Amino acid sequence: MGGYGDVELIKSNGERLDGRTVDELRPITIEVGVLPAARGSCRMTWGLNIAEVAVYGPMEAHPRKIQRPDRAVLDVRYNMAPFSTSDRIRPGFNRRSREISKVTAEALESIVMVEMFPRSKIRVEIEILCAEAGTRCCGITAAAVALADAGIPMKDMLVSVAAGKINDIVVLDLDKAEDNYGQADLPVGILPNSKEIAFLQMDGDLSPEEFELAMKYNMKAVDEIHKLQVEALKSKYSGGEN
Amino acid sequence: MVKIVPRLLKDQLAKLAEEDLRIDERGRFERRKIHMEVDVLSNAEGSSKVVWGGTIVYAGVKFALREPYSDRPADGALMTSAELRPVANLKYEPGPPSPESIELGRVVDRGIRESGCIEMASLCVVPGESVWNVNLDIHVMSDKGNIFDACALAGIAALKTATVPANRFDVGEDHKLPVNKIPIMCSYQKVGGRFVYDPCEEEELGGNERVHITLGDDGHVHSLQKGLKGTFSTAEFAEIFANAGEQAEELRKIVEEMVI
Amino acid sequence: MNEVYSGAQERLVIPGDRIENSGGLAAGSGILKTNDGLVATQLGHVMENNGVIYLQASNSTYIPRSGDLVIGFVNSMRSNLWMFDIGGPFEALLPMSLSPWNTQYGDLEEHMIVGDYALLRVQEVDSQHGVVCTMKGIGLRKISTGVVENIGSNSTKLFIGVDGSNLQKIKQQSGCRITVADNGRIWVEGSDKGISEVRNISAYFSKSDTPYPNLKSIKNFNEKMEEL
Repeated sequence: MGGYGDVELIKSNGERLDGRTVDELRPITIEVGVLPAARGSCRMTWGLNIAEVAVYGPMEAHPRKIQRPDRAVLDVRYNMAPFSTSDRIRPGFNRRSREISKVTAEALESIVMVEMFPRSKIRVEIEILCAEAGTRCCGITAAAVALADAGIPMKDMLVSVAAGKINDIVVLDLDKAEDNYGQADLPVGILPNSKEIAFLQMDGDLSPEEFELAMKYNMKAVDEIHKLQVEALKSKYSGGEN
Repeated sequence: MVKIVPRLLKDQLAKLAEEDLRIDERGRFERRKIHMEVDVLSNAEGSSKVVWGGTIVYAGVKFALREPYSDRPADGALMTSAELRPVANLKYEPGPPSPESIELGRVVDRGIRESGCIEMASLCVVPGESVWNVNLDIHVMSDKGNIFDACALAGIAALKTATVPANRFDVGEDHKLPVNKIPIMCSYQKVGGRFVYDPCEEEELGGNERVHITLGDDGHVHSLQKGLKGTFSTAEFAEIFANAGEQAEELRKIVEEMVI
Repeated sequence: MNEVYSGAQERLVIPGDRIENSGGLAAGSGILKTNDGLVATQLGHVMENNGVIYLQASNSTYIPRSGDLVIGFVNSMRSNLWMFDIGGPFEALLPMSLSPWNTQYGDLEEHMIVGDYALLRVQEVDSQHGVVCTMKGIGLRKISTGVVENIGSNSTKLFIGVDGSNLQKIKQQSGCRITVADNGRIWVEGSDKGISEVRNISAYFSKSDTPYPNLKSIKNFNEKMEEL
């Protein structure tokens, strides 16, 4: 968080700079089966963010030392394309990507029925092609759809979304300016049916009351995004004809 | 992961070749369908997406200012890299760039660089002090065969649409990146004993050596690369070289129509 | 979106969807029993059969079961066994003792090498998903002619049709011998023209724009079957 509470991000009429209300999401589209080489795939646009996810497997896990006798391992990679941000990102090792890959894998392991495929590996490749704040939420949400497209058994879907605080006001789904100059960011990953939390991060400054409101906004958004996940999966299955 | 070539596939490809057929029923020099879009990535200063059969490639251009090299004080630079990430196919493993990935990047780079499509002097901002560094990054998202041609096509299309962000760097007005040539790569693979154009995934798996030819606007050749095990005769090369001229012309039209 | 589905008709569900079970049916494959009731775990259709409610997944990986007929290809060898890729998450092994040949330890290359296809039967699947295959049995053999196509294990039922009706039509039309294996691979033998006809038909599944047969590809396939 930049933490510059003094940059004006909410107009006098209560609208945000891009015209959204406090609890409004940026426009979202979800498309299934977009990468022919993958077993399952998803393309998600969220505001200006673009994420494409490919799922491969389950397959025999190599090298052998990563095999688990009782379950499948999820091999998740979150990667930002070099041209995805305003300053070019050098390809290669990146601490931020490693951390996001790790928490994403753990969130997805909470929904994938990994115990059905002992000794095997499921590869989830999240590529961020264009980034504008909230890429991890976009990646996780798209990954859940790609896993469903790949036919990987899961006990629920997973939706990730973030709420935050700008100008001392709690808002849903920070865009780039709001993220840069905001005071808090609370990304969560929620199982849309059971409403349980599979992913949680936060940085910045929130009072207990603000946290509660932020979670309320997040929960409401989960239902909206889940609806789009359902539509995308079902329409691909129908082959575009209903 | 080492892909094992099923012997049956080799036999089948050889049998089809006897009757001059291909496994996906194309003619020997018939290309798969191409769909191209430009300006698809809002954070890149120039971008393109190429869908070539089942192969999908993105390219993005980024600019940065830097000091020129002392021996060429008025020249900018173009860096092309192609990343072959594990997203593109089951066969690509995570980890540092593989030799295949590096070869892809370098071959695409040579074709674009040597064509002289960008005059390095045009990238000069203040001689001896600052010049533009143009980074062309190519990202393969789905590999269903012939990623070389798809990468080269996406690369030149992204450059053609690029805008130099001089405003953002406080060195003048934004302007179009001057790209005055359209180099085109054409790739051939030896399948069942003869070269075919634009190999598909199965042909790459069961084929032998491949040859990449990059041609400039005037038909001059700017880069060549022979890859994989196998040998071929000069007559064979003459045949595909002649064909490459025709293919390049068609592909160049696609780029020209897209980028007006 | 907690859609609750009821009634006996086919319902399209995605993972996490609740499935109403007023009839007290048992939970079958693809359905998870939780404290809150039954939950779908894959994209697919909910079906009922003989007191069991189960999910016909649109896309799923091949899970070997003993007795399955599979087409595998050798991807590695040791002195006394062949390792096969059978398309699923687990490699299968064929011990020398279950091959049709009287092989000596270390002489396996004489009969079958890396890259060869074979028609096998799954003999045993242990709790660790170790798969042992056999090549002893009627029709089981190394495949050295024709082609092997992959249509996906989800498409085999459709491809064969009710009581083999579709497969019969395809065989008659193409004049080919066709063996459909449970792991979604088919072995086609015949004239070049016949093989290419079968490839065109199987392409409804193998070259579909989804990795699974969607309603559109199924419709196109069924129309083609009507034509024949």
